Amino acid sequence: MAFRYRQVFFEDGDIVSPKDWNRNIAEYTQEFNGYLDRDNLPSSGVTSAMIKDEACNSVHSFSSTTDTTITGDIGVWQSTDGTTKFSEVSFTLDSDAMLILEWSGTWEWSHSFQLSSGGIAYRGISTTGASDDYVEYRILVDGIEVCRLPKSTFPRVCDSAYMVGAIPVAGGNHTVTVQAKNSRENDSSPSFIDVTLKERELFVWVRKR
Amino acid sequence: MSAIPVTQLTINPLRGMDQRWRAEPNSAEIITDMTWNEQDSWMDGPGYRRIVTDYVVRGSNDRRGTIVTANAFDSESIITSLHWFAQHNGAVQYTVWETSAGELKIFNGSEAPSDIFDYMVDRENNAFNGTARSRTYTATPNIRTQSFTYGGRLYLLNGKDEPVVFDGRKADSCGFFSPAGVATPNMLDKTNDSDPIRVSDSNIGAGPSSDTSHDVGFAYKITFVNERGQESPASSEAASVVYKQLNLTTKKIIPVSIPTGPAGCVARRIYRSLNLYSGGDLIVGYGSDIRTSIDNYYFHSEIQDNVTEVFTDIIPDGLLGAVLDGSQLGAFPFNASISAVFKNTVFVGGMTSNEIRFSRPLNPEVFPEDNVFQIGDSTLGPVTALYPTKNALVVFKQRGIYLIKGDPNSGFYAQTLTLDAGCSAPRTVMELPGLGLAFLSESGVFLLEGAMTNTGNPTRVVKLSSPIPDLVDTINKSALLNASAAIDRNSGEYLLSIPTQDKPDPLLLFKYHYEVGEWSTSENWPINCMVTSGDHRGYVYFGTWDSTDIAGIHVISRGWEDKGGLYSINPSYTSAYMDFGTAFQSVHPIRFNVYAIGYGNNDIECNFAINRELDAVYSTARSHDQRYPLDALPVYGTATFGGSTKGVQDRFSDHRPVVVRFDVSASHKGPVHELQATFSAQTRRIQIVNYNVEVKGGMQRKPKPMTLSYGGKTSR
Repeated sequence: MAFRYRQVFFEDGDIVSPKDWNRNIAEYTQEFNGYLDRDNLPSSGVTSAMIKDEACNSVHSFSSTTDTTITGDIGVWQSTDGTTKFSEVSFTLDSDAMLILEWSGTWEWSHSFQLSSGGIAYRGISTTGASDDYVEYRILVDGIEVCRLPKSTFPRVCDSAYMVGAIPVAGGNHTVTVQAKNSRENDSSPSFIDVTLKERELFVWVRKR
Repeated sequence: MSAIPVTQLTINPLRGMDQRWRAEPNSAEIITDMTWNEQDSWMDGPGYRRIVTDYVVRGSNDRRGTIVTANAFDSESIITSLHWFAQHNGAVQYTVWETSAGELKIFNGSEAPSDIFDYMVDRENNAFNGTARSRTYTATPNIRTQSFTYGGRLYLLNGKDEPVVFDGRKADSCGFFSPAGVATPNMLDKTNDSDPIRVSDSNIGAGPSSDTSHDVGFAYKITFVNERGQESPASSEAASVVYKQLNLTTKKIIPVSIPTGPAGCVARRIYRSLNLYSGGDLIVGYGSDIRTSIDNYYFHSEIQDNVTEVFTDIIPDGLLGAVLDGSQLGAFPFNASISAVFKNTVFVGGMTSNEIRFSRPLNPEVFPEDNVFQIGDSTLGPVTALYPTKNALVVFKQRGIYLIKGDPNSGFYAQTLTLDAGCSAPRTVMELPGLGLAFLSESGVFLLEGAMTNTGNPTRVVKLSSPIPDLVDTINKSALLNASAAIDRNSGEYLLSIPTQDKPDPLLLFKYHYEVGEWSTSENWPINCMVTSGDHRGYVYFGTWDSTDIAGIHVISRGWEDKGGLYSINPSYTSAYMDFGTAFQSVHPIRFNVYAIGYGNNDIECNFAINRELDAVYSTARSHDQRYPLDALPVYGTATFGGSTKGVQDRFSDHRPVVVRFDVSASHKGPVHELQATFSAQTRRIQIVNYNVEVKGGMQRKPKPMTLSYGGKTSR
């Protein structure tokens, strides 16, 4: 309960003292600078027009349709093919915030494929052993992993996915990066098959304190 | 002929009530509606008002100029309990109250003053409005709903209703009150007749793949988990599934049916035994098997929903997690009515026995069955209150005080502190800053002081109410459960609401001014429950039992004109009897000089009594402005901006001590041996620093203490 109540009573006949006034007014002024609560504001008393843009929320995004390659390698997380970043945004916050991170993308294994009699896409038998290959993705904030997608295996020729995560951060500079790994459980033949990352979008929702 | 000399006796500093026969002259027999302040004076005390103002009801008479007002509490029921807690380091606060109509309400001031509360709702959005959900109301004196906070949540329990935990949005049931249902494993594949589910990878699935000719068997237990991570007692042991592996390269997979949990269950934890068979033989003991027991269940997985009815078990024995320690799980004691949090552990009591149960550390809703203390025996009455202070949890019985010490790591233990004093009013236990723990017992108000540990500062119980025996005599012992207390940190007072013999519902207030260690009192406080806000405001709120004339929640403040618009504030200081009999044969008082704060034209009144007579000397008290007669200080009601008073331009002034003189006489009453003065305010404001009495004394005496004359000591 954030109501305040006067602390000094005075009435007709009492000497006019500024201390009485100040004491009662101080009761209200002590609420400024951080103590006002929902009780102090009428319902619907604050409308969106009264709030400065990005005072409560801001949005940062990365969107691309430029293909980029996820090179096959054991254990290596990559964020770029050397030229084109998979997905990354950087921004500066002036206060603590909660970051809600969303990423979606599509990709395709670069090896040719053939159709089975059932019409389901799968890799040719000639790539025996490569069925252990997989690609996985994760979102990092300042190098800290926030969320990760389950592995998508080689037999799924074309695939897409969506992941979401959240993390509280302090004010300052922050970088949100999407990394991918094209790998397999055991490093044996045949050689790795590249994955082409296609349309993708990283969305960062900053919920400020 | 010489004049009788005038002796001036200064009474300074003024102290609180002392109703013993021989009291210090600077103490008082009765102080009403006054507060001691840090400038060492007694000033007019607080009143109370509803926490929201009246509002104008726009009725049909409005256009004719008749204003009809109403208040949000006009139709409020009896408020039976009041609770305050905050989240986000105090940024979001909640005031919760319970009514005799079975309601649980949460203050919401955003639509005040007409609409000021929301009903608390449960998970299914059923409101605690006395209809959809209701709380039990008992009219006779009872312990009421108690609360504690843990992890930003408010826990409410009264021993009658289901304990609930309020997280700011909804009320949920506390923990679980019974074990989870039984998990049933079987070998049926529901999708393909009776063929078992199988897997051709020997690295997954339960049991060794080589046991194609020997039985393997597994049993399961499950627990329910609520959204606060609190785990229910584990299910009882179910029949195990027994089978043989299909072949050396193909293992069978076990589908396990699991029950769904009650409302509030958000996950279920699965525990599984190791293979119950060795070489096809059921392991029944310790024997030669390297495993110490087949009774152990190991963490298997957590199903994070309350929907799944069947899961398939593909986890081999080697990947099972930690062993299930069933002794660390337990149901919430549903009939607990008192509670406290001590060292990350919740303690509850008030059950039908002398038990104190305590939770698993950091798990406020999990009460292992072995976490129990038997406190005292049946001859000392029930456990009445729990209060954590310093390095101990204080357990009060009706006659007896115990300390629970220790910590969760090394274990808790109980000690007996005293069997002489106990607490009879659970809601009166309060910590007085710098002093100790105050509480009300059958024989008065006591203080538990000391460090509660062996530090050289002895832990002991002292009686606080010794100076006010007459007031204590008025307490209604059969209604002590109606008493409640709060700490008003703004004025340094321990407020104790007391049921009296003529009013089982409290109307009398004892005030202990803990900064100076003195008592005063006040009347007309219909308090049923009260609470101090823990924020920077530090207000004391109370709910009333009088739903007819003064219903609702009130806030205490010196800023109010009166008490709820119903009772007036009458500050009065009546001194103890000053005994002149040892120094003079008799005296004649001629003057009181009161050193008071000059508040203005509103009068201070003075009267006095002599020789312990029933009536004061004057039937009408003498009165005088609280200022010097020649002062032309502007006062409210006449001063204006730009105006003048007695030819001097009006301006702000200041309050300062002035001497107010009262010439008196009691010569018509005969010789005076004892004298008692009363100072009061004619309207409201008054502040007394000290006073002196001028008397004409008769023959002086020089008494000697008898004990000294006889060679003894002057004191015991």
